[in-house]
Amino acid sequence: MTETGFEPNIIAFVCNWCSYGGADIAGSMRLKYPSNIKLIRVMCSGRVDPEFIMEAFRSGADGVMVLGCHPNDCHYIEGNYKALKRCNMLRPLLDQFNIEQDRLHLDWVSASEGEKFARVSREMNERITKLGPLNWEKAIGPIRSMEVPS
Amino acid sequence: MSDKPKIAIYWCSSCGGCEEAVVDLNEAILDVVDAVDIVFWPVAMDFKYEDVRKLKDGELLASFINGGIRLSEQEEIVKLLREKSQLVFAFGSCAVMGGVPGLANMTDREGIFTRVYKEIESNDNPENRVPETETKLDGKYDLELPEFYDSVYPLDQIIPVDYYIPGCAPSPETITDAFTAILEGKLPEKGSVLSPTKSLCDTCPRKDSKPDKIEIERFVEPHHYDKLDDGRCFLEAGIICMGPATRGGCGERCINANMPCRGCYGPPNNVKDQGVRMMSALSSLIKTDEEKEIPKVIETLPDLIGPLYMYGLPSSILFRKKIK
Amino acid sequence: MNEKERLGFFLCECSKNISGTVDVHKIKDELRKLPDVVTAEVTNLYCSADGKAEIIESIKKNKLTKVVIGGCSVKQHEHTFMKVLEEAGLNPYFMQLVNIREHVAWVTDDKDKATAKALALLKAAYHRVQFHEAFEKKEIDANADVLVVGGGLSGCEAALNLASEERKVYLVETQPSLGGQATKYESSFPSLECCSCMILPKLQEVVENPHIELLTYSDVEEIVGFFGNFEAAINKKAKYVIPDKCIGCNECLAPCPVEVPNECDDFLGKRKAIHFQVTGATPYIPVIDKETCLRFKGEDCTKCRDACMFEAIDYDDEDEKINISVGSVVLATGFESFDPALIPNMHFSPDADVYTGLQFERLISNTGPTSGKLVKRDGTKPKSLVMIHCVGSRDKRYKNYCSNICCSVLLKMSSQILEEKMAEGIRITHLYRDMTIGSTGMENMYEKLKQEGVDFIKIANPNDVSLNSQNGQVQVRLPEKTMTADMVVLGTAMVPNKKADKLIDMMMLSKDEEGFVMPTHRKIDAVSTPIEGVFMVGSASYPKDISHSIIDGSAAAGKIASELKPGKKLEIETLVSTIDEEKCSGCKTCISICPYKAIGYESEKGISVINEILCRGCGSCVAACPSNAITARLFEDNTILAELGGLL
Repeated sequence: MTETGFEPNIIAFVCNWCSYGGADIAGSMRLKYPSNIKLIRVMCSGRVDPEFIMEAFRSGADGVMVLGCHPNDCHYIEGNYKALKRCNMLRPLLDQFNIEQDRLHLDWVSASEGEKFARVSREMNERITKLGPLNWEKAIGPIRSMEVPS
Repeated sequence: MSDKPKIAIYWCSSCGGCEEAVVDLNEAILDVVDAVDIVFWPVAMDFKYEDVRKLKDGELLASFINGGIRLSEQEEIVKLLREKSQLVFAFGSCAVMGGVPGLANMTDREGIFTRVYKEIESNDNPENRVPETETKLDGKYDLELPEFYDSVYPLDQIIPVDYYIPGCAPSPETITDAFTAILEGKLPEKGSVLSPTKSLCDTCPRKDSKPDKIEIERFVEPHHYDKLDDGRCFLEAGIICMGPATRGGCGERCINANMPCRGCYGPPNNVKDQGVRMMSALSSLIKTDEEKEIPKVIETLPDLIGPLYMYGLPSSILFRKKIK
Repeated sequence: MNEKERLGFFLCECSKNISGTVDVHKIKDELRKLPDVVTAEVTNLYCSADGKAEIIESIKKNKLTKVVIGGCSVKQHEHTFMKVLEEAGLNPYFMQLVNIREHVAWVTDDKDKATAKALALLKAAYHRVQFHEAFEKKEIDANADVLVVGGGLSGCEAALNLASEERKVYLVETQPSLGGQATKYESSFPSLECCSCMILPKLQEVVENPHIELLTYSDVEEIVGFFGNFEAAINKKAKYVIPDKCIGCNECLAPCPVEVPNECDDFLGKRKAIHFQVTGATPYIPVIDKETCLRFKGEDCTKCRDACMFEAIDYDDEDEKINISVGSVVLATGFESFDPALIPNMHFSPDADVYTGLQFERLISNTGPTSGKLVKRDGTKPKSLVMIHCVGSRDKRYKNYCSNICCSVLLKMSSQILEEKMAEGIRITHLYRDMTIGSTGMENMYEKLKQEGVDFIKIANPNDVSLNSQNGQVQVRLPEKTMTADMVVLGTAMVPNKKADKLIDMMMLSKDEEGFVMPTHRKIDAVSTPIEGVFMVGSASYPKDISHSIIDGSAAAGKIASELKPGKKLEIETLVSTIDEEKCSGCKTCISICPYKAIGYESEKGISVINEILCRGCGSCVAACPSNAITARLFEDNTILAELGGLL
């Protein structure tokens, strides 16, 4: 709980083989990290579409994490490199929209790194708390009738 | 009073190119004029807003509206046309996606007015006057200007749109096909974009020589490249061609003129945000895997929004830049 | 559209592991309020027999269409619950297992927050699961035969382990005989066992195995296809010798007027146009090299045929093109020596007494150009011998890895020289960086050599040593001193056989920075390649000794035997990705990035197509497709976006 009471909404995309396992180990070790970090499982960090990340920010996320396997360890050989390249290009793009680059965090967490998972989650939470809420819908408003005709 | 179907053509924040596109039909425009009655077309005919207000609801078969919406007057008139029309067509990239004027979503009203009316070096505006919605002229006349919104909106964010005719401007073929479909009653389901959905690569003259593997080592702007006419896929040389994320139907005019596609026909059917999809494709094609080298490759492209969202910023997921 | 969904939630208490922190009953009540939720239940252990039965009963009673389970990790029980669904008559993919134990209960102190987080995750799953589609397992016909490229020890081992009545193995070897580089060694470490005696039984087995079709002096020209269905084109080069008639008497050699450098000796000695790979090779058949034979230059030389008493020479022999169908391919193309000419400070003239490791093996081998006599090029016995380790290895300028066996080989060669008294009184000096001798017995050999007076000088980087040959001796210049030696042996790095490059490119295998084909995983799956059904064994994959090369061969054989059963269909991955023909414009972005080369371009339709057998379902292409034309099964855009929407 912060002074302002702001608890960021953070979405973490975790890959089935490494970072999901890392989160599991964090659980087995009973390590604690903020509950506002919510996980979405994908098979590979290479599946994470930059569109998802933008949708997350648009829909209320204050921060997004993409957690994949360490370089050279990807279960699908190079999916994590795809995630790396996409995030590297997405951050400056988000910056141009005036979304702070730190709101998108890419990291490598192996299936055994429970400590790292908890630490990365805590650090992300601190970082985003300092940056404050993004509140994108409000920030770009007012939006005029957004319905797509049926 | 003729029995011909009535149509209206209206422009919002636009350059006039879409009006010219209609004229570009050349002789075919005579067929159009034969087949329909144009009852409202500010650029070419002397009808007034009152004439539109007098129409019955649904009396117009179709309204073709081009330009992005950023003035209250534009919002008012397009809503009026919506009431009076059976079908509303978003005509041209600006109405479909926001268009080039949509790039103004990188700033806001204050930013624009400050730059245009105060900062430009050739201004002669010692009192730093800016347009205001309500002004008293000479102390006695109440003058009202349309409200200038902070953002540019595509047409379908203001009124329900039935069909989209894409392009900046739509090519004569696209326009002719659309008109023919309307007059023959062969329009597809509502909400459709009236152009093939497959992206430009499908019909691109440079497709056959495109290699199976493209590896981008750095991004290059067309004017820095001396082999634009070698007939090879632009992406091979690191030139951003929006073709893969842009629907076809334009006749590849730009490609045939040795210039890469800039995306004016908008994304294929099930793509919501053209810019981010293209960005995903481009970044995935970067050659190096080294963590330290990847940012250097991306730095060769100093501006991302320009090439990726040249026509589609207001219809993108994030809609506009956040002004602090 | 669809019939109305009937969703069921099953929340596991996990013996207080979950319910101790997460208020599952409160969540249950909340979930019941959601549209289309027919039931929300709680039990102690859903993974128990009772728990599973409860789910099955509830599915049947409530006619559930989709199921969400709040419990432990997907890695623990996803399969468990998928089976439960199958038993209840539902497609196993119509469920989502939400981790509210490891990811919520065990990592959150505050109970209210934990409950809120669990509820959020379950709601997200509620949105997601409605988009789940039914997927069925798929099978394809497969050919169980195998193509082994390379008849060295790893290739022979693979072939022997696989060949059976129900499975034919084609073994293609570019040289006239089997055994690869191992045929060059006189002895092997650590025991100095006679190398050819050691390997001969294995090679003989290959020749005699009725289920191995042995194609020596042949090359694979083309391989296309995919796991279970490869087609290969092989060029069986003309030997001009009839194998059944030749008894290996060697009489044809002497009369041949052509003499050229012998590549089988790493160009140390010479051979005739008609030649055996090495004396005693298996099969022991000579071949006529048409590049050097006078007949192919227009002359009517018949000297070898005249000398043959068995009419085994056939000048009318021709290359034969053979097409085969196999299900799997093993690449055992081996290694070659790093070329020391790439090291500028180690330039020496061709007549200098400086040898690469492989050349020196030939020099001290009974089947070599000097019949095993250790003599200098001028025929005299050397009194001093310097052996330099790490030549070309462990150096960013050349090859930045350790070639694993060279230290052992150089020690072996020193031992052999001393044991067999090949040069009485010879003074041997080793210049080494680190003594990397991990194999059993090598420490003893090292100690013994030190005791026998062999000098070991540790230097920083042997690649910085300068060589200068003059007056029949070699000057070896180190930073602090200069030595003179009668002979120098360079322990050169092992690099992949360049002749395999064309095949490797054709099969679209990727190489790492050092030029070795990348396996599926260097630690967990080192003989498989990302191309399903294609394996890489032996030193072609990474420098290794004979024992590990043979192990590689067995490993690949084991994998093929368990995955490609004769007469059985191949089950392929269900959760693959597919490209919508109507949406694909053939931009080929996906083809560029697929690590499994599972996507091909169909030029007639102008679209890209995913080979569902090769696709592993990673989804990289799905995220990259600029037209959004690709769908990843079970991880479609709409499922992930639904989950995301449910969380925010």
